[in-house]
Amino acid sequence: MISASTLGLVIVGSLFWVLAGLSILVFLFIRERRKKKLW
Amino acid sequence: MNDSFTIESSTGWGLILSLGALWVLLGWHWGKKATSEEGFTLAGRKVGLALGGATIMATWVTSNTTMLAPVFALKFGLWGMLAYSTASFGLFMFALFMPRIRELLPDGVTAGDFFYLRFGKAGWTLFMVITLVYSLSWLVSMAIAGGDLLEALAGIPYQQGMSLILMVCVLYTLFGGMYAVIGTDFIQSLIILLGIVVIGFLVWGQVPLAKAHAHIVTHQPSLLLWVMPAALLAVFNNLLFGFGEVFHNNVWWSRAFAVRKEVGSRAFALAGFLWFPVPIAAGFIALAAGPLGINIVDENQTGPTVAAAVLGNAGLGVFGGGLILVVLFCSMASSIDSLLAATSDLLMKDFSARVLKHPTRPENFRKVGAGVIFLVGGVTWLLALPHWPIINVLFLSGPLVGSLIWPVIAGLFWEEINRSVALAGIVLGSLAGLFSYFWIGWFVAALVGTGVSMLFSLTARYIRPSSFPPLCSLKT
Repeated sequence: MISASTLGLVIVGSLFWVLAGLSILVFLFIRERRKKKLW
Repeated sequence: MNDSFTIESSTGWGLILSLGALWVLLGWHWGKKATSEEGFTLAGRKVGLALGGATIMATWVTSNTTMLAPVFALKFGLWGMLAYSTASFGLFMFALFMPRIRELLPDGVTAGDFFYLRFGKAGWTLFMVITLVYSLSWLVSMAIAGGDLLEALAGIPYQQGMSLILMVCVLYTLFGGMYAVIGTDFIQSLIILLGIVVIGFLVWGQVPLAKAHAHIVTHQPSLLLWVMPAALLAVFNNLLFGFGEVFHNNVWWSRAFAVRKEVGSRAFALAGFLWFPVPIAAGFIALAAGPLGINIVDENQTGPTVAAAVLGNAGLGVFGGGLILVVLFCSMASSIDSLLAATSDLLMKDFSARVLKHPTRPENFRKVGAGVIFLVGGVTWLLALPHWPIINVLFLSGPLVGSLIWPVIAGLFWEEINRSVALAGIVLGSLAGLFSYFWIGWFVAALVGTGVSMLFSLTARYIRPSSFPPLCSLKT
């Protein structure tokens, strides 16, 4: 049976993963906007 | 009026109209950059990594992702959420295809170009039938989900809510083409990710995971099994459904042609990275229903019901309801606009040139493009109006798109193939998949469709294969 710690690791990990993705997206946007390479 | 509505209908109307007005204004503003047909359909082929990655991710986050992931969690537990996440692997695989796609079709515009080049008129016709069934059922199911959402969350009658959401998306896509789609997708993807993080952390704060785990152990221990056959089959089924969908649909091919060549692979890989945790983060909130004592009346509304309760407990009240509405609206709009644009491109470029034998004149791109988007939007509205269970057609198309996986791989990477055998594999794979859908279950349909088509494709490689036609044969 899947333990509480495994369940927690997957769920909390996914939340922080989404947060990291959001930060990467904002960082890339700012960098490409500065370089005028958005589109 | 039902007391369970989380926000007033006037608030719902206000939110959608305000956001809609913003999308239309931005679409119109960005659309001014589209001074040519290539600008309108492919945003000038110069989209960077940030906007490219965001639009690919946002397109793949549909209302199915945010609404069905909690249902998967409720039925299959951890494996259900992971099964849904495997749909992102299609994006990772497509990232690997990107260099070859751009090499094979440097001036390509649609997925139809690829099928016409590699499999001729018969293969292209088969592709068009499958992709139009799939894209239209996806589009209509999104419009229906939008109407249902506004009715459930704000008490807005279904037909009014559905028409409102569809009208907003048609308007901004029509004014701005691909520029509007990609620009709004970026903002929508930020809202979706932020909303999921906020709601997820609030749920985590209110229901300690140890408590949720203990509740599941007591009431639904099967959800925590390491080996759950139906859930494991769902993992592979979703994986293959995702592969088939991403490999064939023009939504992804149009982005493959729209992003700058040097960032193409990275844009798809970034989108896969961003998308992978979304079904888990959006789905796990269903596991909080039991510990919080929430009675799930409508299984399909699990996500919004739990989220509304959690945000209410956190004292966010109307703001919480509005947040849920905005996040779900963005997840729908980001898919509806992409489907409108990509399906219209197929009709405008492929259908007019290869069936009507009357390609669009370059100077008329805006008029024709807007007309076709309006037409596709109108057909979607008519099909969504009776509230038929179109979502079933979307699930039924799993084996159809699954049977296109191997022909796409073959067309991209093999030097020669027996076209007739490969095309027979698409037809028989689709039929076998549909048969297994009804006689065994949805969780094996895409597996069977893909398996049959794979056998035929591998056979087609070795039995009387002939070389693919040269690249110059792409003339219509």
